[in-house]
Amino acid sequence: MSTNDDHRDLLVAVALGIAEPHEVAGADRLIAENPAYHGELAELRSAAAAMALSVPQIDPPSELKGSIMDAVRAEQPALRRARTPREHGRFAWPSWRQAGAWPALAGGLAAVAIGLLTWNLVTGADDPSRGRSLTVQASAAVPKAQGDARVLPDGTAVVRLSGLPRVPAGTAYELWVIGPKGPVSAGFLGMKANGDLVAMAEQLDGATALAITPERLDNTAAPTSTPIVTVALG
Amino acid sequence: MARRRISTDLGRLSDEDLLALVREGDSAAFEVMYDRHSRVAYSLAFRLVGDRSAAEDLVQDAFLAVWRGSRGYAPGLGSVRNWVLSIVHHRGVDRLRTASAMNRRQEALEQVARVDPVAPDAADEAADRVLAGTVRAELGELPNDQQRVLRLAYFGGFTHHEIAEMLDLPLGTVKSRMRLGLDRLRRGLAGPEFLAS
Repeated sequence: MSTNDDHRDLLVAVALGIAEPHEVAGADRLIAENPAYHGELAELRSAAAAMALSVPQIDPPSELKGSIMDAVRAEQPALRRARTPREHGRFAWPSWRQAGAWPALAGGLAAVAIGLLTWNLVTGADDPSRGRSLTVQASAAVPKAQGDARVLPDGTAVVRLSGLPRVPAGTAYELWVIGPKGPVSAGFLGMKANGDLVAMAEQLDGATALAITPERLDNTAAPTSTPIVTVALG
Repeated sequence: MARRRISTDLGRLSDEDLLALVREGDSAAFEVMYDRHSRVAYSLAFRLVGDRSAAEDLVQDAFLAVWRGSRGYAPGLGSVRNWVLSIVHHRGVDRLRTASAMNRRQEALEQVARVDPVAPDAADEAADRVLAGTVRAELGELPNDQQRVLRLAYFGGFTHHEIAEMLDLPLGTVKSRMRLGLDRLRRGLAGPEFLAS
């Protein structure tokens, strides 16, 4: 049985940015079940971030600002077009995601996609500075699901979903990167304050798709069911 | 002249208000945000990666992520400054984790053994100097064993298990030291200047 100290160990690990994927998922569920922990996590994050002030302060070189502002101004027109008046995708607060090695998934994405509903993203699809938007497919098992996905300019894929049904205690939605050697876990989806589920995948070399399945928190080996959501990377 | 007047007005805005402008693609508002937070961000980056060139890359990545993903900020999770620092920290830890594990551990242990200067830099901005002095004082109040695990976690990116292995301590001891240390730091830094931007 978990104790208050166990709960706070999870929050501390998340606040310090050292939580492993199952710990991130555990903290998300903890907060969902007990909203009081949301405020506690915010305070712990503030305390952790304050440690940055304890190091000797160094002025960044002025050339760095010039370089950053050049990039910002170059992207500004496209960013303004993309953000007016449409709603668009989001970043999550960063959380540690770690991939592992997995046995190959029997079958392929084509089989997975059979019987799926499809929606196309329109959020900034014409804006190269915000990355490439992707087509997300949801299975009939999650008819209320909505979301978006994109590959950012740095190569990271971000998936944001809402309307997924709650999963039983001890389980969470897990993101898989489908590559030539089969599925590789990209971690469990984290829950934002507004209830959206978000996950990021950073190692996409050779990958053809992303897939999401509900999994036990201790399962990081391979998907155990048909994906409820897939995202083609091609 | 007009540009200077606009910049002065932007400088009076809170971080949250600036971020609202950044979300609409306002580069001038972003520039004010950069001026406010780049110093602490760069200092953290340098502490994490230990090299000026790598720290510059890290800060550039982080601020461009802020520019491109400004809607990801959620006020309920802390101040804008802390959000920016969390992006720097997350990306820095990612880079640390790709470094050679053995080298990283040795360097981290040596870094933790050194004590950061208590006296703030002469060039510190006044407000930052007060905050930095407060944080250093609160950290200094922690027992050494709690300081050590907190520094290994935050500046080294090591997990509970990794720290337990490095220090040859039971996992539960590492967790309790980290929990007690961060909780004490939280209570010591409970003022609004740490919770707001």
